[in-house]
Amino acid sequence: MSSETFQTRGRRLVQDQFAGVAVQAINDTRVHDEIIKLAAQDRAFEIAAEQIDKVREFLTNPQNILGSAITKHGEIAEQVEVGIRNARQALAQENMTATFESVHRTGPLDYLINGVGVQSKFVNGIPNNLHHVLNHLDRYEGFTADGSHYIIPKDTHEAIQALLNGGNIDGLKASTEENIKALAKLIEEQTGKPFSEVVQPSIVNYPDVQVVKAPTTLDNEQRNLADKNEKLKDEIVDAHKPSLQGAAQAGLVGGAVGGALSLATGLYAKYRAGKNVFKGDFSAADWQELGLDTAKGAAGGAVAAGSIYLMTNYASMAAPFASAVVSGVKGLSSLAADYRNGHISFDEFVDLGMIVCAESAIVSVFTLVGQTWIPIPVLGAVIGSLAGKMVAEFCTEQKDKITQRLRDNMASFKATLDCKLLEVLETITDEFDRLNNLTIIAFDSRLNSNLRDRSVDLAMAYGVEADKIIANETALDKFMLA
Amino acid sequence: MFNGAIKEEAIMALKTAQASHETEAKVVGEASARLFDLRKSSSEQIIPQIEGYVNSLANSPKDLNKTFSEYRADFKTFNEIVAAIEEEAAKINTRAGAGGATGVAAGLGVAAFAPSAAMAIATTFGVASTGTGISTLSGVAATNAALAWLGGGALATGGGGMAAGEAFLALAGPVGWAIGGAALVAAGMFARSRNQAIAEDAAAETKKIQTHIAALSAATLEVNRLFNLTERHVNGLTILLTQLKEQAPRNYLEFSIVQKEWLSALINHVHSLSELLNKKVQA
Repeated sequence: MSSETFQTRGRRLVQDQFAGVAVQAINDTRVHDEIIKLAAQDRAFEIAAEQIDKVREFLTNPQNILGSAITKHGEIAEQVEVGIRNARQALAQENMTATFESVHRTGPLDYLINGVGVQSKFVNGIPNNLHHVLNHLDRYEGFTADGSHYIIPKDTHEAIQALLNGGNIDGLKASTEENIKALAKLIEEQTGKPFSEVVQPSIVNYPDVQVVKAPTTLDNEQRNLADKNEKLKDEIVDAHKPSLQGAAQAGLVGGAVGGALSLATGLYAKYRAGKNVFKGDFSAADWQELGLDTAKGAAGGAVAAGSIYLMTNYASMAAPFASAVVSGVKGLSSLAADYRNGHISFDEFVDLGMIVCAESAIVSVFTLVGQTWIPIPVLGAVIGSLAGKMVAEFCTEQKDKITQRLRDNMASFKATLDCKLLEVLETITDEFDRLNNLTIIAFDSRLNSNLRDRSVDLAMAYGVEADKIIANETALDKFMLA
Repeated sequence: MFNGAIKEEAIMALKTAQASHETEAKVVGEASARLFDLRKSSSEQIIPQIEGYVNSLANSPKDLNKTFSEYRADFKTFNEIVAAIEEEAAKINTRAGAGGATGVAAGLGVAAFAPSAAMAIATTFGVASTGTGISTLSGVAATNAALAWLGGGALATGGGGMAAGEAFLALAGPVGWAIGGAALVAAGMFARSRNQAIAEDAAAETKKIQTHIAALSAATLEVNRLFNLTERHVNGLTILLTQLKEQAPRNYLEFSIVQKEWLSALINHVHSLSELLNKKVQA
């Protein structure tokens, strides 16, 4: 017989379903978190797009933009700078730091970044651009004292930096280059701060903010934002993929559940046996046995939960069915060991294997049904798995009933047959006893007289025709002398 | 899906029943062979002796043949069948030896190893396919019936080797055509998938075989009792004949009253023996 008993098999089935429930909870949490984060990212993209739309809105009414047709790009640059900065921050789910709020449209500040004032200077030609900065410094002395600074086109800023770092700019005369360096130095002298601190680069280049080019710049930015959004979402999905860490976590939970379940059933069994742990009835041996059972339960639970985690996540199986597979495999491997050790025959292995798998399947179906019908987490699964276990046990009992019925049927048939055979044997014995007695008497030479009469009796018993029988002397004379 | 063990148990029971049946059939076969030998020797020895004695007497009956004619007719048929089967068996042995043995030929070939055993069964139980006893047919008809009967038996066993061949002698014909293929039935059952249905079929088959085992044990008793009765009868007749030969005069007209009683008994007993020799076992 198998080393796995009916009770341990039942416990394994339920325990594995518990592991399944635990893994389901882990999976649910993970999936839930993923859904929330993806939704948040999409919302962030919407906000980012709104920032770009604001700039577009601004561009639709050129008559409201300050300056002439040639200088309108100055205010466009401000709008683009604030809009794109904010859009990028919104997409990264950061606070949007650029704003026009509480800034006078024609004052010394164009906008604020992180609460610090910014004067935007987008002027054609590098020396020109720097002259505009110096002019502003002249008009608003001490402008940079509180950290306020200038923002100039990205390409212009890069060129100046290259020169300051000892490089050259293609297409510029050496005198112009010297002029630019002198202007940068002048700015540093007037503010007492490094050039790179006082004059900072924009997000965009000078041509990007021109009236005709600005819409394209915004379109490009929106496309970049969309791409970035998809990348961020991919990162979220990646971050929520099932992992070995997840499996390990599931294993820990499963181990805890398995151990607790084993401990609880162990304690209950001891209690039924009259030993109450809370009254100090336990001996060292009891504790040892309980400890071993708990450890085994924990190990079993950990393996089950880990496996179920992997199966639910990588084989797209529902937790109850994954539990069933794990349970079936565990049961089968136990059977396989029994078969290898010669405890069971191959036929028994096949039969018990089918029972193990069928029971796992039945319990899993009931767990799933339980979860669906009783929408209280875990409770439905528990009730379902217990109901499934009862059905599985019922099926096994049915087998015994069929076996018993066939045996009873055969036994009663045999009894009837034996009874009839006895009757037949008695009939045969009676008939042959009668013929045998007649034969003995017929040939008994000690009985000298009436030998003919006795032969007649025997012949009649055998059914010889009457006219052939010689019953007296006259008949014999007639036969012999005919 | 759960009922593999049930199936196994039922098939085990079926196999056990088949084995018992084979053993029982062998017992019946051997008892029948013994009876056959006794019947053959008595027909060849005691009857001609009595006939010769009566003929040798002065004033013996001119139409003595009438008395023994029916008896001789029975044994002529009997002997013809034996001869025909021996001839047929020899042919089949040759064919089987040439490598052309089919299932049927193999079955008959087994019969060829023990033609007298086959005859023993045929004369003890033998019934032609029409339901008429073989011994009541005559000549060619009887021979054909016996061969057909044996052929059918061989077909039913499907040539299951020596053991099955021996068993078929008893299986075939009166004691159970139906179960000749029980081994094949069991094999066929394994190919089916519904274990409970298999178990129930096997149980039904087991019941059939058990019924036949019961019939065979009844037959064994009857054949053995028939043997004892025949032996006692033949012994008694031999003693009576010896007594007459030694003590009675050579002329019937000189017989005493007692000697006439002996002679009457002798003739009556010959009629009785004729009935006894043709008595068929009901199985």
